Amino acid sequence: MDTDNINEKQSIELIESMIKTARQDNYSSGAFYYILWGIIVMVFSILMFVAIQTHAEWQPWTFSLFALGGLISFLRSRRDDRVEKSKSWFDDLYMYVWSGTGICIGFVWGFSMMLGLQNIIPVILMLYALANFITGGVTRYYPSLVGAIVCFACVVVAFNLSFAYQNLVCAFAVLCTHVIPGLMMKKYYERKGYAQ
Amino acid sequence: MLNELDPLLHSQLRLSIMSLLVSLEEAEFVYLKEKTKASAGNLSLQLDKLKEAGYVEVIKTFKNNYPLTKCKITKKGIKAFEKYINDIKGYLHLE
Repeated sequence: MDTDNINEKQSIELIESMIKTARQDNYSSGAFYYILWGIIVMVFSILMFVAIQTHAEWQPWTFSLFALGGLISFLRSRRDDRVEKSKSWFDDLYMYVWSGTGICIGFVWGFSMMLGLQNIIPVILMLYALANFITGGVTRYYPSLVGAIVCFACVVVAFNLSFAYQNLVCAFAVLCTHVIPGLMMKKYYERKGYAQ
Repeated sequence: MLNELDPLLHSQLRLSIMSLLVSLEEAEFVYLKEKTKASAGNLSLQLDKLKEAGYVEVIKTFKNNYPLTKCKITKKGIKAFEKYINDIKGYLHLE
């Protein structure tokens, strides 16, 4: 690329193309976390449903999935820090929104006795939908935004079901908000030749 | 009456650098080189011009014991970029 002057139309095209390039790079590493946490929460919810239905003793062990997710995320973020050559404004948005949501979900589980078993999953889904609504809206990633709207609908359904079946609704909501948008993102970047 | 376009920004490589940096919190020198497809020498020269104008901040640091150059757009750079966009919209009758 040279430093020659350009005309006004070329300037606008150049600006648009560079901004698009920078935004695409930002999304490319996000797919991994979308899919990872989507699968973890989905598997957790299905295992919870099975454990409740069969009165299984291993039910408390299902929570260890989150520790596994945390460890994988930590290792991946260290790798990303080494490899990534740019830092987006959106990195902080994701970090603050999702860590704040994680803290709120922790409180919900922690005070589950006061909140009532029946209300835990709908409240968590509400927080989940809100976080996706904000990040999907701000980054203009529409599959995530659509997933958030599906998740809001799941909140209404979950309030009308028993705790066991709320877990299945949660698995479906996570499939729509994280797994599908994450896979779409991954596929898009594989076509573009980005490594995941 | 049309405003004169900022000569510092009305250049292909410098405008590319500014467009990338305005979308990012910070970017490494190699990232800018990769995306603009410019040579290291030319990129370095244009970054110096933007730095002298106060449009970008160039941070020299280390990563895994290797020297690393990071670039960030400044508040003055953002204002200049916004003004450039508004001026160019005037030329293209987009306002």
